[in-house]
Amino acid sequence: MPSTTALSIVTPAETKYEGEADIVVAPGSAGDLAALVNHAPLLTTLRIGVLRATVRRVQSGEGKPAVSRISYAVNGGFMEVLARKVVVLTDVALSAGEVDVDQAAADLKRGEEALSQKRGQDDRAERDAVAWASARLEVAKERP
Amino acid sequence: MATLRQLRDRVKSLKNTQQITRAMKMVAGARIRRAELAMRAARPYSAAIGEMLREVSRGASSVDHPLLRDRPVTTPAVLLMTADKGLAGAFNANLARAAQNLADTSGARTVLYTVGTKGAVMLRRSRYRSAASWPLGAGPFVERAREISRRVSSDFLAGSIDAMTLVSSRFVSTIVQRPTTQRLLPVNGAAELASLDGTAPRSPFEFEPDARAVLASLLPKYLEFTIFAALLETQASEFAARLLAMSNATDNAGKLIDDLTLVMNKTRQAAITKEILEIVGGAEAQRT
Repeated sequence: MPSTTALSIVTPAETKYEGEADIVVAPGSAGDLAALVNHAPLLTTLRIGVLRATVRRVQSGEGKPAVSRISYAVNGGFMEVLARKVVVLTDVALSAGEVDVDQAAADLKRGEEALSQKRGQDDRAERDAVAWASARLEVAKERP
Repeated sequence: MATLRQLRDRVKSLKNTQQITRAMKMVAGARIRRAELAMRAARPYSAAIGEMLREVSRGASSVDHPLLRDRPVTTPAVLLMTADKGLAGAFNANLARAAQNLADTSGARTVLYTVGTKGAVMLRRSRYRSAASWPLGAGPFVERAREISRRVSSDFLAGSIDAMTLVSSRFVSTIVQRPTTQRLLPVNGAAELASLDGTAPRSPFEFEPDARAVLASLLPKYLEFTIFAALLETQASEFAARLLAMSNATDNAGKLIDDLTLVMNKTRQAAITKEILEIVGGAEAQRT
């Protein structure tokens, strides 16, 4: 029986990642959740946060796949989990190398200021901006 | 009869024109390839969101959402997508005409939304009210699609429009692009939602937080992606139309240059012959 599940991270502009994963940990809207192989069918919305997975990469020339960890900052979206398949659907997914750290730090600062001024009003947009900036910074920390 | 100098100037100017049309043709050719790749890259997303929508509509006991609700249409709307620039044959005109015809059949209260400068300009003098217009721009279209879909869905939810039809270009091949219409709002025209009558087997999925909530966030995304895909396809069509138009223009300029060069050579030859005749005639006259 296979011990891995096929993970794909899909955005409108491109397929960000495709490969075999041992475990996928996603920021579900009702809390973080982990998906392993043979998970029961599940469809969930995602919050803005960091998606992590342990994946098997087959190196060219060597037969044994190497285990490595990947992480992406995801800007909300959806995740569909099936027994042998995990599909993550999101607008933007950024790996550590793709994050502009200065930009994210500036966004975080600006977002927090905007949030503090919005006391009591509808601050969903500001909250999202802050969450997205922190998610990017968190992923950037894992840069090798 | 034009003088030799005039002919030479015309040929020179035609050659310049031909250089420009040839350059535009090559640019369009290169961009088509990129646009086609972008269209292909969007396919997995399209498949995935379709599948999710299907599952969630099977999973929810009753599917109901403001974006799905049909109501009597007093204010129909048309969303027209064209290019920002011309020089692409009848591309923009065909799309604008399709939108115009659609508006004519749906009533005088039709409201127009346009993407692409050309469409906005072409329909400016029509009798329909224009609610919003965006430029097509050069992409990436994710942001633009979000902007458009936010605006049209909020107008729909606020009741200022009751239904919306999209007029955009379908990229059939590099040779053929066709204006197409599809219903955007209410969303229930989507094939994925066809099995909503409750006869389909219940979905095996668990939903988090619940089917209704997933549907509520899936529907705006679906609308956004439909617009995104149409933007991509319209842009690819624009490049294809421009490639063909500029290729024709280059050929036509070439033909004109050939014709004019022939006339030019004949004129030059005629002048030379005339001179020789004059010299010979003069010499003959002196001998006798």
